[in-house]
Amino acid sequence: MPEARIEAKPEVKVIAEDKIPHLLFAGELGAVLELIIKDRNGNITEKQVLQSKSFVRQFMEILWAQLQWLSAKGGSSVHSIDDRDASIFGWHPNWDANAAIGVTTRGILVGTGSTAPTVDDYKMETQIGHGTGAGQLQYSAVAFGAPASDATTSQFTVTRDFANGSGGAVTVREIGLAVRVYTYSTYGWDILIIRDVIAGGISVPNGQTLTVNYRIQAVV
Amino acid sequence: MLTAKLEIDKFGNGKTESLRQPARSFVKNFISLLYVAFAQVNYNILDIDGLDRSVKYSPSEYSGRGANLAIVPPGNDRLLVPLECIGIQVGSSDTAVTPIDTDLGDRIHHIDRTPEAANVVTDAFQWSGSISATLLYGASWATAQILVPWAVRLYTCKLRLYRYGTLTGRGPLTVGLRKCDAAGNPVGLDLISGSVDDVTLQGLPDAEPGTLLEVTFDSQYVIRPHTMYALVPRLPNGNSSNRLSWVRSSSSSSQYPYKRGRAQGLTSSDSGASWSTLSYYNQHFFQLLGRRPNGLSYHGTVLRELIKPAVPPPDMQFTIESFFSNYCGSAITVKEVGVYATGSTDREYEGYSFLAARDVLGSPITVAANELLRVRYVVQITV
Repeated sequence: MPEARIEAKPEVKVIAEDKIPHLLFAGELGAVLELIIKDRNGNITEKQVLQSKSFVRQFMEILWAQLQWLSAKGGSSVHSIDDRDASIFGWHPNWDANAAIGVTTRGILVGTGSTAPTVDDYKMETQIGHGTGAGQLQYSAVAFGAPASDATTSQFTVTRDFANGSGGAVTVREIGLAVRVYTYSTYGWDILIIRDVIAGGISVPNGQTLTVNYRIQAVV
Repeated sequence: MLTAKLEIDKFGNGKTESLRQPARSFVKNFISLLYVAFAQVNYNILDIDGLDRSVKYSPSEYSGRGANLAIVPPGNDRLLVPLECIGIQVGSSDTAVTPIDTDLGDRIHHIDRTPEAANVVTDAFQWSGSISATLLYGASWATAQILVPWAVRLYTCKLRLYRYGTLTGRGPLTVGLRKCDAAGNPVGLDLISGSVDDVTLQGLPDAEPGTLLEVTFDSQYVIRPHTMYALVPRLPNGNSSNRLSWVRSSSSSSQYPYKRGRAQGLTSSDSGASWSTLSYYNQHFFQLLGRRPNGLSYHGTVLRELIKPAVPPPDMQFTIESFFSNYCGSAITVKEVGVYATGSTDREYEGYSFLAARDVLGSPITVAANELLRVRYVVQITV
């Protein structure tokens, strides 16, 4: 059986106005989560569109610091994905979700944990590693779709492919989004800002690829 | 999920009037600023003037750049927009919010005193060094860009001019006020204009340094700080033998003669279709005369502490808060509120304001003279 291989970066286009999914209500800022399974020929074999429910506390902490450009006031702590308190400074290019191929601490992450999210989650419960070993998936680079809008909704897209070359099916039950923030000395910390649990999970058969789209949306 | 609540309270005359409603207002520009940060790309976003600005993803204090996504003034010199152009804003339009709004429908200006009873000089440029002049006739136009320090209702302007030849029958001189594009060139039609007849033009001196000719605009227009406008005079019936000369500085100084607008004036040979920059540090002489409009005094925006309520929902929340006083002497009716956030460009010390959120109030609130208005956005997440 041929090994599933990932592209360096998934293709992502600005979403057409009539294709913007609507799961959020007026006044909400959140994310729509799309899960797509494709076979080795690129045919879609499964697709789920869900409402992401779970900004965690670090999202608010980074937003709070960034909105007031906290660099001028001494920084603010936020808990990192590797279980440390990180300082954030507003003048640095925070919110960096632009992870390269194989990077498992930033961008969209996948796992097998099924415990319901809480606001205090700072890491994936059981993260799936990058590779072709048993239970692993190959993390592509993260790609982005530029902002688009329709009559009520504006959005941009964060996307990542996870190819299964492990030799067996891998079931993804939790999905997260992590970003990099920077300290005064420009040291980068990776911070989980969203964690979602997928009811029943989604199985990625061997040789197939899971594409995860987080569509960050605001609805007026 | 993130949501926000609006809490508006008016204090005055021993009474408090309050309004509570859900905020439903994060617009595309806020999403776009997040996109710049998440994707680490430079991206063009329309600022509050509707001008396309390339927002840089990596503002850095070391290169003189300011912050992206800030809604509170920083505590140092990195504030690249006027204080009143950051954070919570108020307006008087009840036009429905759309995702692509780039500004409030009708923003209430920051005014901290009663408007003047008569016109005063709000901004001017005059140069005591060597001077030159730009010729105005036919399709040969010129301009001076202006950036005023506070909002002003513009009534008249003055240009230092002299004539060459005979202007009888060559009038009128028309002076338009136009907005500028992102490059600083006049764009669009006149916002307002005024004209001077040929009899008056013929009475102008015929040599340097000319005289300040006052041009009264046909109507008034409020220009606001941090937005670049241009005065655009033209004499379409003139010719190279019967023309006006607009006096300008002619300096080789390393100092910009006009600190706020563009250092150099512009000229056009095709009736304003395209513009050329004058040589080094040449700016045309002008005065702007007007009066402050009515408005509210913006006291600046603060963020209150980030808290985690003991009993959710919500799971986390913080409050954005701003106060507005009415010192203008006239009642001001607020029908909309919004939030401006900053974005920095690739140029040092250049930043702009972008509309992040806008809400139309369920019922208007009138702020009488000497009353105080408090506007709060309570931002919450619930898992």
